[in-house]
Amino acid sequence: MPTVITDDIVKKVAKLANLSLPSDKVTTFAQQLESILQHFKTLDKVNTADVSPTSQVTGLKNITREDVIDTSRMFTQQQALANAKQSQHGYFVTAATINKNASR
Amino acid sequence: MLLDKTILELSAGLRKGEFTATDIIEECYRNIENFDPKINAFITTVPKEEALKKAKEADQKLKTSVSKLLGIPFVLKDCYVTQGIPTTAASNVLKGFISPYNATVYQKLLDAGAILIGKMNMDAWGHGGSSENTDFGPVKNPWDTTRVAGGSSGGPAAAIATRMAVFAIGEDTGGSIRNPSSWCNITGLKVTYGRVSRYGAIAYASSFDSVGPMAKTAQDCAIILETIAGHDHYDATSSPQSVPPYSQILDKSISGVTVGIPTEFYGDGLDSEIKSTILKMSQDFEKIGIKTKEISMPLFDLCIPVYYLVGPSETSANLARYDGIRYGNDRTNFTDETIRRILIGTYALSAGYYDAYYKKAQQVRTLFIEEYNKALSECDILLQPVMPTPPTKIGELLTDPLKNLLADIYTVSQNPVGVPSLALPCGFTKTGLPIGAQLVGSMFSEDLLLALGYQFQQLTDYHLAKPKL
Repeated sequence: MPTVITDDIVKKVAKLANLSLPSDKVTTFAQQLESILQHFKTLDKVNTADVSPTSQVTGLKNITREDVIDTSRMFTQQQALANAKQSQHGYFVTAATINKNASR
Repeated sequence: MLLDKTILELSAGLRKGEFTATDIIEECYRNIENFDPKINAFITTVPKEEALKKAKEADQKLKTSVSKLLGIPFVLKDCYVTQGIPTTAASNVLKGFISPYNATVYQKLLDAGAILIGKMNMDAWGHGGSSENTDFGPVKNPWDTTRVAGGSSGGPAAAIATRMAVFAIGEDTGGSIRNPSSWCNITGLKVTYGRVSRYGAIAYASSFDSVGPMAKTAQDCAIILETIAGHDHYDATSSPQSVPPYSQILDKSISGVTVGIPTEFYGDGLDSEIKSTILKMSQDFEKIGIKTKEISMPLFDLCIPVYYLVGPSETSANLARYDGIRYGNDRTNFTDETIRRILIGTYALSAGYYDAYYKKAQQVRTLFIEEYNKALSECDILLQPVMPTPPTKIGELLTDPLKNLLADIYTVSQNPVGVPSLALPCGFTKTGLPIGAQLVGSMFSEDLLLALGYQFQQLTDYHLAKPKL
């Protein structure tokens, strides 16, 4: 297992996870992750060459149900927006994802 | 105290007119008032007037309803969504959030006439084993308030121990029902994966999460399980297997059943007093015709890396949805413990590391399933410790994140496999702190685990002891 968790790795992973870490905590997280991942190296000694991975244990496959509308479970627009910090004209307000000043 | 009674005793007493549902509710709120300021088990308390209104309705239905849970007050770990009542998962990320719909487990209990009185403190998102990783202050252990209640379902366990409710619904991803049950001296069941619907349960690690009962006795757990178990169209992983009448088959003969003692679970890391107390259970098992034998589970100590790679990987994906736009608050509100788990998971899933970490852990997970299959072909039930030590001091586990993870060693091997486990009280340390053991069985063997738990509790009185707060 390749593990040396540098500050840069922590910053990169935090960005992937959409977390903004305070700069004074990056090194602490790097050290903690390093110590935790070092402990996980014990997995290296297990031979898994012919072992298939398990992602779920139900034994169930292709579970479907009728695609019908259950009106008892429908939200009104008001219910759907009730927990939003900001809404306008019946829509959720989000941060801009398009830079208006960018040249076309 | 009415709250010392079992569900069956309460249900019978209500119908005989010995007391009313209103009396039970009044007693709950008295206990909440007296004890909760000392242990901090509740995040949200349902207003007493509302609970009393439901109790009056229940009292009127007693003659026509056969539900054993009619008029019985309960609490939910605060990770189940409840229409009109706040749900936080003990995180400021969800502070202020009110769900527009009900979790299936909650709806089933409402349909059975049970009365919700509170939403309980826990480790935020289920991330922890001590109920200290919470934005609502740590839950204190009612047996010694300088110690933790365990976690992540610490609030529910402490509430049952102090008789603030009759039963609770916890959630177990890597010990979160069993750990606090054992540290607070109550009985808790981690069900087979898929036995109870996860719809409306806030996801920690979706392939591990299981919804289950926490109560004073195995019999209570059986009654709750037969109400909440079963297939649910809204959870595609819920099992279509039929639900046995668990509470009707508790006294079936289990003579001849073999309990295996996996020696690796009783090594150096286990407190010697806990070890000798658990092993002494075999003397009571003998009285009901149950033999014990030593077996081996050599992969055991790999459970921590498997659990702490797969769990965080799944949680990093599950928590990605919390952006504070449609509901809740932004991602700066996650605690350090949750940030660590998101970082580990994101790292284990990221390009270049996926094979070495995530895939490797999923492969060893397959070996664990084979290991449990083999162990459970040599015996019917496995007897394992729940916690390696008595409840830790508040703050003790927070200073060392790795030590914090290692405390979960006995409870994280079962969830990747999916098998059920019943945690139950089996004694006390010399200093008077509770000790719990877990009975682990094959997939969907809850009937057997509950029967052994029930019959053990007919012979012993550890589960009747309660803290003096």
